[in-house]
Amino acid sequence: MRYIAIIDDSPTMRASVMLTLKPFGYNVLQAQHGAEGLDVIQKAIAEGHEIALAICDINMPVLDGIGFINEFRKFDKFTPILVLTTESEQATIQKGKQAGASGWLIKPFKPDELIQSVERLIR
Amino acid sequence: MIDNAVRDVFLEESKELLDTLDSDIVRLETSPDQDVMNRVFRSVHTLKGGSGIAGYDQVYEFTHGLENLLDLVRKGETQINAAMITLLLRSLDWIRQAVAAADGEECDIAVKEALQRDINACIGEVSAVKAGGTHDEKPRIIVPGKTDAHGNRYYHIRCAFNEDIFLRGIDPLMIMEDLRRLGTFIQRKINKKDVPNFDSLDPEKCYFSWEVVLKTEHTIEKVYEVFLFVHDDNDIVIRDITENYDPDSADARIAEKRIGEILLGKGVITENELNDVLNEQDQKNAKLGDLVVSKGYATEKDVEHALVDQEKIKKKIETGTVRVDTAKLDNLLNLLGEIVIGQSAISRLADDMSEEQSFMLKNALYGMERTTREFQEQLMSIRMIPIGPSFEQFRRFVRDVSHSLNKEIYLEIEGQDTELDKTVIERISDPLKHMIRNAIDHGIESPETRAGAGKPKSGKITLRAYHQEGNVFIEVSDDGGGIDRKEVRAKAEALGLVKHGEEIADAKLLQFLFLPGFSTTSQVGELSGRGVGMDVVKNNIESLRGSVEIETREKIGTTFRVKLPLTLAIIEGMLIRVGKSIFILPMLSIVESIRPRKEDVQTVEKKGELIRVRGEYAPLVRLYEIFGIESEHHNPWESLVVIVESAGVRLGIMIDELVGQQQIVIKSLDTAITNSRSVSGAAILGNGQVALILDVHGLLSEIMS
Ligand SMILES: [Mg+2]
Repeated sequence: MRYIAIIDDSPTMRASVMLTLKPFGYNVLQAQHGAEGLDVIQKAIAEGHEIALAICDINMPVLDGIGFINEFRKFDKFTPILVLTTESEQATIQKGKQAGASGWLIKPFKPDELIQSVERLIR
Repeated sequence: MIDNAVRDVFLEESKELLDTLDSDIVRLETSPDQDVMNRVFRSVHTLKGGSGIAGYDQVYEFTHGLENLLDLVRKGETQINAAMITLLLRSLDWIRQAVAAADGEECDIAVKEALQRDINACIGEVSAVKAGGTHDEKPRIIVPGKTDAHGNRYYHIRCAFNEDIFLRGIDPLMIMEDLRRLGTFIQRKINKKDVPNFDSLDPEKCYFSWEVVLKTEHTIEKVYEVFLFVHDDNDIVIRDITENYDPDSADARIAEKRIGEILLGKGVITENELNDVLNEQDQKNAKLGDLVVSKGYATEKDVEHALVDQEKIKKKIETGTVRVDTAKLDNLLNLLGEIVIGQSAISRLADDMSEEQSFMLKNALYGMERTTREFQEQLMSIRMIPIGPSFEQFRRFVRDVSHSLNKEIYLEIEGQDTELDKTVIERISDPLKHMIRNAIDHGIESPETRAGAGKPKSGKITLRAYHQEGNVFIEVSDDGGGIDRKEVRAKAEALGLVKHGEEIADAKLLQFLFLPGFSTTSQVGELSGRGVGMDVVKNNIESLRGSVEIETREKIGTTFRVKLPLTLAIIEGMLIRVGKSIFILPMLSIVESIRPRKEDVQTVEKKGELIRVRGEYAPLVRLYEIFGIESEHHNPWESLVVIVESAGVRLGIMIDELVGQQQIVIKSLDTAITNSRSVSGAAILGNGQVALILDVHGLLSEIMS
């Protein structure tokens, strides 16, 4: 199965992403911080699933977004990563790009903005 | 519909965030801590993101300003002060109300705008200061009174209560009790001289007055709070005497004596010298350390080291403040285990739901699991105590035993801060004693032999503790002659344990020393004798789910290395399936899992089935045969094999499936149910199924025999 992973420490954000993507036929995996994200993704891959896209927050406990992207890129160079950020974190967009993020979306976003970004990256 | 669901999640999340923020911000007031500060920032940041997504526009806009202010604080561009704390707390209150306000209902805009003005003012102030402008209104920074080196403050408090205090419904004893809860009374005086004769005594009047010295970590404000209702019309005087407070002389005397004992324990001074100095000290009232140096019994450096050691011991002794029956802790842990089981049961139920419902339920479970994990960590940390005091008790033992054998040995202790489960510490004490005794008895040579070998006459035993990869290691090392392998080998051959000329790994050869009745010295020591106790030592360690290995070098010494789990109550386990049965393997003993090829499996006469892994052969066990159960596979090359290890020996276990990793709360098994050495306990899984926990070491020794 193909999955989109959402890695965010905010349950609200995770639920919102999942509920937005669901009607469009995407299956969603969730994790609450970078380290768990790596775990969940690696497990899914080991079980034969495919990750189509990782959506990740920047400010998270344990392992933050930049750390996640760095680690993720060590074993997967191609899967797109969409960074969720806020207008107060402009500087991190640059850092995210350097680490290997594929695009960003500024919170709070509208459902169709998310869908657009996702479709742009997955195509 | 989507909006409603997101809103529900946000309601839950915001409640949790606001509660954390409340306590974190209050904490910031008393102790500015960067970690807490960062968490506060992150919480507000998350709150902002969530409120934006869930459509709480007012809250979103408001938290935005708040975030900006906190960002400045976080970066150290402004310092948090009492006014700011109040502002933050009031802001949280407003957010709480705004979130709780039902749909369409207006939240209090006036309050919000007033708060925003204040927040902006704070931000503006910082910007102004940053721009180089001077500001009249400096933020008030709270400076609590000084403390001593241990964070204690001392207050002299005199309370002469008004005679009529009872008439106001206040019991002075209640106030004294409140006061005592702040710390300890290190001096207490009750003034009874105003109590009249019995015939003129009015039972409704208070005649006593108190004078106490309170040792506490709290500030004077906190002490004043106790007298909040009685301060005005009673005679209460509180003085901070931290600076000139001279600790109780008895305390100092005990401390002095301890330095003497440490020096004695380290073998720096002799008992006679200590007695001599203690006598002199009684007359001269001088510091023990100074006397020892002036008499030439020790160098200044020795005393300095002893002082450092003493500080460490003192810290350890002072750490405990509440005594709790460990049975209560065990109970709590068991109950928590039930909660964990319940949670995983719910999580499994979620798997059978529609994907969307399952997602939402798991989302909710996340928060709960986090709390449970934190709870568990806290609970475990209560059970963890440093091993130092337990090590210290051996100083005397080493001294006594070595003297009785006319040997000179001093004990060195390393890693006394290493923490482990109280139960483990208690139960490892006896085996340690045995190993130390063994080292004194057989490890360290007589002074003459040592001198002949060019070694210092006095031997050294080192007790060392350290953490490594989730385990605790405890080592007993001696700088003696080492174990003679030839002698061990000869004995092993005599006992038929190994054939003449047969190759045997060093680690395996040395493990023979732990067999009952195996002794390398012809004259068995009067105290213990190697071999007499070593099998008992090994059994004790294994019953703690630990292992022991020996490292020895001729002429240099021997180390007994004990590996123990941090705690006995919980293990990190791998669930494995054989047929319909689930077993648990401790993660720590798993090396890898492989799918063997047909040619890697061989049957060797008398050794049974072997499997080749990375060029080496390991015995292969079939769990379905041992436990008499069904299995999906009967050929190793069709099934999965987990390679496990214990004390350097490997073993392959044939299974049908690796189910997953999980924290396992161990339930001990009645020996009536199983006395198999292959099983160390059981756990109840989320679906109520009982799973046996495999004891790798037991499995190994069972198939070896
Ligand atoms: Mg976040």
